[in-house]
Amino acid sequence: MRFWCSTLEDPWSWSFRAYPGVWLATLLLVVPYLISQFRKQGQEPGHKKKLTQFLLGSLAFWVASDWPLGLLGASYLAFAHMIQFMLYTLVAAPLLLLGTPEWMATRALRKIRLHRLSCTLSKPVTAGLIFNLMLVLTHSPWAVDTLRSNQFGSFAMDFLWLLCGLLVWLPIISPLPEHRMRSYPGKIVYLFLAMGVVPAIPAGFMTFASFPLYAIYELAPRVHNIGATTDQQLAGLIMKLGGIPIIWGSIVIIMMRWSEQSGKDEINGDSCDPQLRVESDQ
Amino acid sequence: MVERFGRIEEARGSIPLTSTHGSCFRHLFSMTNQKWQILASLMVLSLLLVSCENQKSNQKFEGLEIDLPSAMPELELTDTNGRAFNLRADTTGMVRLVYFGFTECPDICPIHLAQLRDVLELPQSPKNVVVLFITVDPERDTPQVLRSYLDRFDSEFVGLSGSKVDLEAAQLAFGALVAAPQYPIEGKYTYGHDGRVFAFAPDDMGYTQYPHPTRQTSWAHDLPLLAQYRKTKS
Repeated sequence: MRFWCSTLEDPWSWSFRAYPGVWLATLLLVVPYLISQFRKQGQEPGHKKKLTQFLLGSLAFWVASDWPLGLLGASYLAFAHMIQFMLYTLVAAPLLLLGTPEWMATRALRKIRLHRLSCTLSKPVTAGLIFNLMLVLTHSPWAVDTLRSNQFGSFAMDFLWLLCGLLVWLPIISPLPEHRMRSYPGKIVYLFLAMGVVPAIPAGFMTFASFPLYAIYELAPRVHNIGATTDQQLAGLIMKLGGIPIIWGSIVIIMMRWSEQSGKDEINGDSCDPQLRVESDQ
Repeated sequence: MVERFGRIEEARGSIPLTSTHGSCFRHLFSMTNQKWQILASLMVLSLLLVSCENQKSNQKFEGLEIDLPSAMPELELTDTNGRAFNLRADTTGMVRLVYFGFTECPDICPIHLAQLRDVLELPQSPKNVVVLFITVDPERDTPQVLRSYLDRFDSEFVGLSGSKVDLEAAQLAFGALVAAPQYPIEGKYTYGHDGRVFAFAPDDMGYTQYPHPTRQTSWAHDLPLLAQYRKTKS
């Protein structure tokens, strides 16, 4: 019995394979959250929305980790590996953060005594650097070929992706206000630089390389006759383009909020127009 | 000058160093001694690494190089059009990649063929390469089945079959392990077979073999080299 998806020598089959380690990890994510929410139920406005967001994030985590996507990504297809990465960092991580209430995050961080460290790591430059360093390292041929070949290494890679995904979104949507950037233009620039620029580098290597970079996918039994080079090119495209809807969608939302905030500032008399200021004073 | 000479001689181990410059240099000499030991170790390590690298670069091919290359066997089998095919005569002037497999093979065969398809499509690959896929399962691999299977990879790949006796003789002639049927799995039987690709240059000599797994970079490196071996006119 295998606990976490890792490389197999067997040809790909659509027969179900159980990975109880993934189920356990998902339960460890969901059950403590539900118990905490149950105890606080009705005491906080918007808790249903947060519950939905957290459960969707957990669902994204489970889909990315379990059969079939987890196994395809760990053993057979580079583009499945890339879809996993996108799900962990661009879907599961932000949803889990959005779904975590402030009181829960504060309590959890204080319990494990990581509040101060989280404040340091949530600084935009630190979070962005760590995320991009992780991205480059975990997509190096050495890392993929070494870590994916065994269950523990594969688990470590998935866990690192989720952790760094949470980290990179902290300056934008952390449940704790002290983590979040105050400046709207700063958030936009951060999103673009941290998640829009560096991923293009490994994506470019994958798309334009003459040969497959990862031995694990090059030498895997083929799935539906997809060639190794085609598979890698698809992975590069997904990495390059897959984040666009979420990153640019987030930028649009931030710009809309910025615009709303500017509108509120005008109504409150913060306008530069003296006429408006006189009217608001009256 | 005496001090410098003394350090060099100490490193060579020929004379013990004695200081004529007072006690303040003893500490310097003990540090210098350590530094020379470290330097010497680094030099030995570098020499080892360089010699290992030279050994590697002495190997011309990235595949398994054959110490005593032998001539390609001259055999006749049947191609997927039902015509007689002479493995050597009908591929004169080409790099031949001979592989024994079967269409129901779940892993190694499709990987080898997919790798070769991808490499042969590269612009830098030589054009005079032919893949000869010889089935070890003539009962299931009829000419139509064989052709249909190979067309999934490349329509230029040549499929060859024959009687069981001829196919066994072919495997023995190439030095391959003779394929043997494995125990039935869910009513289907499979074959354990030699996973190597036997490569023969245009001069009909076999210089390398390629086991599973062989990466595309190795193929791309070796095929142009093999293509250079041409028959000399006598």
